[in-house]
Amino acid sequence: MNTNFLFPSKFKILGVFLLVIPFITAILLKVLNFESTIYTADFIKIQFQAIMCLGLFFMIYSRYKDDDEMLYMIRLQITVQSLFIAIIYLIISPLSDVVIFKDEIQSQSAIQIIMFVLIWQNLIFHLKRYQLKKELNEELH
Amino acid sequence: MKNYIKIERARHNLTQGDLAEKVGVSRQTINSIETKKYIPSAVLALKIAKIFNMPLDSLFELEEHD
Repeated sequence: MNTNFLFPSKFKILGVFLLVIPFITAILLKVLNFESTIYTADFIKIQFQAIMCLGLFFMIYSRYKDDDEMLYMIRLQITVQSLFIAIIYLIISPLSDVVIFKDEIQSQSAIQIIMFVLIWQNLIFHLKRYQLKKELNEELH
Repeated sequence: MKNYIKIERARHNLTQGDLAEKVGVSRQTINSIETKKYIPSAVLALKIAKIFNMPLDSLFELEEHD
């Protein structure tokens, strides 16, 4: 099965940098009480979150040493699963605002939903890889 | 889907790693196929059958629920 759509493995390291650097920078800006005269705090926050999303995207869609058609299928299943969970969240969230919290409906940020989907994909993908390796080791011993 | 990869592998004196290397997948994938946790693509199934020099339907067999 063709898995050429994946980024080269070096993109994994780039992904980690893109995830960690905005996070650390955001903490530093908060600690140093930095205020920009050009950009608003919201603009900076959205840009940082978008960069972190790109990092998470590179982390899941870059090639692994043991990448093959089975991992490709696992990625596909997780992508479908995470989209389904995101849709369920979009249905439940306004309902819970009105029914449970008796509050106004809070608008959902696209970046937060995309980040949630990507974090979910990364966590489940690594969990599945760990389970496969564990099963293989148990089989050998 | 039932398969006889483990038996054929033993008959040809091949380890999971050897077979994985020959067909270009990971050892985990061969193990998952043998334990029926993963159904291979047609391309991979044909590659495995070619290694064992046998027809595809002798290596893989449909089960009642398939």
